[in-house]
Amino acid sequence: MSIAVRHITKTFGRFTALRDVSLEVAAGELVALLGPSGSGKTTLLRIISGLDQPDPSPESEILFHEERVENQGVGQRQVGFVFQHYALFRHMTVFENIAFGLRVRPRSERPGKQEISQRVRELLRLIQLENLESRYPGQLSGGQRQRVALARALAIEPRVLLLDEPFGALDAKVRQELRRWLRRLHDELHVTSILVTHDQEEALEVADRIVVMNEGQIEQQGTPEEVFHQPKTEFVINFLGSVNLFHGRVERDGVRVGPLLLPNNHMAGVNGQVARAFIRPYDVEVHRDKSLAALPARVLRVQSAGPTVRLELMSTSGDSILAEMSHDKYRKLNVRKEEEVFVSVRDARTFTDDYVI
Amino acid sequence: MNPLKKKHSVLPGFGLTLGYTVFYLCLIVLIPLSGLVVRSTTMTLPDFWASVTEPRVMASYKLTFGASLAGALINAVFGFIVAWTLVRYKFPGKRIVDAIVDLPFALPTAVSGIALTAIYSKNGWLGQYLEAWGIKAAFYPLGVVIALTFIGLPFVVRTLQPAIADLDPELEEAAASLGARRLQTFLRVIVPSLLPALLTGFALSFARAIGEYGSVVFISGNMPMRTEITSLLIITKLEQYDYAGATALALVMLIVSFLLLLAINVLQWWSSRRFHGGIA
Amino acid sequence: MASLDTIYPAVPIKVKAATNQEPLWVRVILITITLAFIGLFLFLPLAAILTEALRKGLGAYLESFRDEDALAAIKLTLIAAAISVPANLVFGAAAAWALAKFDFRGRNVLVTLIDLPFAVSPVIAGLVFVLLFGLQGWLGPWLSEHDIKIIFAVPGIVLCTIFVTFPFVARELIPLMQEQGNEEEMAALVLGASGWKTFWRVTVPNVKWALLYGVILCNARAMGEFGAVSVVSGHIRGKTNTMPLHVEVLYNEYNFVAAFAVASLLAMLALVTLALKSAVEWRMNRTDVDTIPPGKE
Repeated sequence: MSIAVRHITKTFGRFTALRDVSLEVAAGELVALLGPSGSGKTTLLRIISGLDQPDPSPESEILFHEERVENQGVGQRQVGFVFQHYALFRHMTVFENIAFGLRVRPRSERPGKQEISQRVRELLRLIQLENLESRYPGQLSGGQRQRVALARALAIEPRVLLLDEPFGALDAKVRQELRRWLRRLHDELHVTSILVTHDQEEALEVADRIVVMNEGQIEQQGTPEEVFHQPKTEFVINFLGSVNLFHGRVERDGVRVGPLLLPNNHMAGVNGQVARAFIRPYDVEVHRDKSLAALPARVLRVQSAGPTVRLELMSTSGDSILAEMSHDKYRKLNVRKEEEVFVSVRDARTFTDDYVI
Repeated sequence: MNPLKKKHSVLPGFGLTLGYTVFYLCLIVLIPLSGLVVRSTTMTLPDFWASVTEPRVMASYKLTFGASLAGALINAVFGFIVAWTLVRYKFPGKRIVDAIVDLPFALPTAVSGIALTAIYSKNGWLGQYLEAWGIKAAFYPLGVVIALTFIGLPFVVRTLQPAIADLDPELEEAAASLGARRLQTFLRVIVPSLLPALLTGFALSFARAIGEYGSVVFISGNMPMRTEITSLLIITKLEQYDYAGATALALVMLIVSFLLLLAINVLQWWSSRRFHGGIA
Repeated sequence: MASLDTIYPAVPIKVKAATNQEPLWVRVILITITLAFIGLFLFLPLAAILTEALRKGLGAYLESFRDEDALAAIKLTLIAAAISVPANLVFGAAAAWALAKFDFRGRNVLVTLIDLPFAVSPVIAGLVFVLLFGLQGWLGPWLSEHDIKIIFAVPGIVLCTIFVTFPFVARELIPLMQEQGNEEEMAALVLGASGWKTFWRVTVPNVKWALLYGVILCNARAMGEFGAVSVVSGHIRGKTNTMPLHVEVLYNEYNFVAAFAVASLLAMLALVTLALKSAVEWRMNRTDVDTIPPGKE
């Protein structure tokens, strides 16, 4: 089931949550809407589900499998919606929660008791909670509740599955387990899914495609590799992972930051114009030998607990620089706190003003 | 079209339920109450003023407000002690005491009235001892104070209980660790934290007492100029077909009640601002 | 183990208890005051009612209920409660749905207006209906022309009862439903449930204890209201006297045993109300504890 939304705008009073947003999701795809809070991602999800309505406009369209659904109520769109805080019915058992969507169907469409019970048992198996069917939500852990919420959404055989920050309320370890489980589940079921998250790691790990949103607009969409390695805007590069920011000026064959000449990957801007260069910590190279094309800096702090070693540096001009390297490299480099080093840059993304906004 | 513009929601039934709510509210509460206000405007201002300040009325105000104030003060003191012991201490019969605090809510006021009269009249269980000491309760202003204390008690206790339960024990521990003695901690840390709740309970108790009728009329004796409360005077005027007088008096009491309601709301707003303000 | 005890003596716990606890003699005094005050003001009146009712023996007590007027009063009280409680229950549910589940301008004003009857003295509540429907009232002449009696008749008593018990159910439901939010209802709608089914299967079960609580309080007040109905009833024996009014009539006739006998029924009602209320409060607290989400915070 493919989903398409076109020219969607949504305002709440004076606040514009979405500005003319269009998005296509292919059948069977798992797409992550990634962005900070207030970026409009949840609003977009709720509009797709029918829980919210877009501002009326002749151009706006919401299509499920090429069929327009704007006039269908939230109950008719047959979407599975998983809420951030689960929204489990607290007075019903796990079994009753999962069965709810089937039991409230009009009598003519309602499956028989046997069938409902069989379907619920299948789902309980799927979420690996077979022995907890008669528990109440209050007696489950957060991770278990979210799995029940997912099973409840799947029970109505949804055409699309919409997940609103499904792991946001869980602690880090459970979150990691659950998102891997969700990915496996998606590979098994192939339900077209949209996942809203503000956690870049989660989006990068789970999604087929990432849609980065900011201030009610889509900044960039693409595979996790694309958005991570070829960020198109300053917002995207800032939002996905930590990054160093340098201010420089455009020259004929690059961007000049002190002694460093960085590649001007957009070939934008005129000579002498102010430019900003973003450099990932792992693209910062640290040397002990002085060279003309390197920036002198001082080691402020070494953080070596973790999969990589992170060096906090301070350039002579007073900019703080974060460098990341393997333990192996760090050992070869053999620097200590307060020592002088030289910094060069392997790769950078540069932006000039006319490019932004 | 609709002045009550709602934000969009997929939940159905807004129009129906809001429409019914407003309709029913108007029918039962707003139209009858506004009728009272409109009716009082048929009087001229001097007539109105004369009617609500005549000596018998003034005497009834004095008794009503004086006794209500006394009752609310007694409740503020003893209600505080009751609430404190119920929240902080363990003692036999605590659950029953906690449940029975609401008796004045649940007991019909007429029943409270005759029961209190029976106890405090000249040969009642307590009245006979008071009489021996030369204290007259039933059919005297003291009786009115007793009745108004009775009906106001739950307001103070029930407002204070959650506030005491919510007191952060770390506050007291911090005070103690800083060298404060228990009494200092109590006066400087606990009482100021509970002050808004105590004032709210006091105001609620006072407001309830001002409008009270049933529990008072039996014990007060209803002597004009001496033990006649304003509520009773309204009924008396009504029974004498003095509709204008009754309406004027009712309007005065209604305004006082609303002012008290306003004060209570401001108090609650103040306490929530004061204690939960900075936290977004 | 002995060495452990010397390193971690039990002192800190004792110190903690001492900092947050008054000295024993203070506690004893405060508890004594509480028991004395509650005993004097609350238990004594209850005891007085029973004693006075049984002063002339069980026979005289039971005889009081043989009286036709007493039975008529009981019947009228039940009728008034049977109409006003469901009326305010339906209103409370509708108001709570509109005011707790939706956000709109003027919402806070409506919430305040619903509480209004609590701020109005019962006598005034009776008076407004006299001014509206009484012979001298706005609609009085029209009503008497059409031979409809509201004041000094049962409709007036019912109206007054509805007025004074108006907020009980709504004020229990509104804060609770607001606190519970809309997510469960939204989930039900997404799963295909109709609005009506969502209300009955999701909303009502979630607020059932608060609903019951409101109904219990509403009923107690409806059966016990005195001031307001006293103004509109006209005190016609056997016709427009509710139980509290009948108590007054008997008392003023110096028929103390009968007055206290009827009063004892009302006191019983109050005690049942308190017991139910405590039970429901206990249930509500238990559901609260059940639903603390472990994932949050």
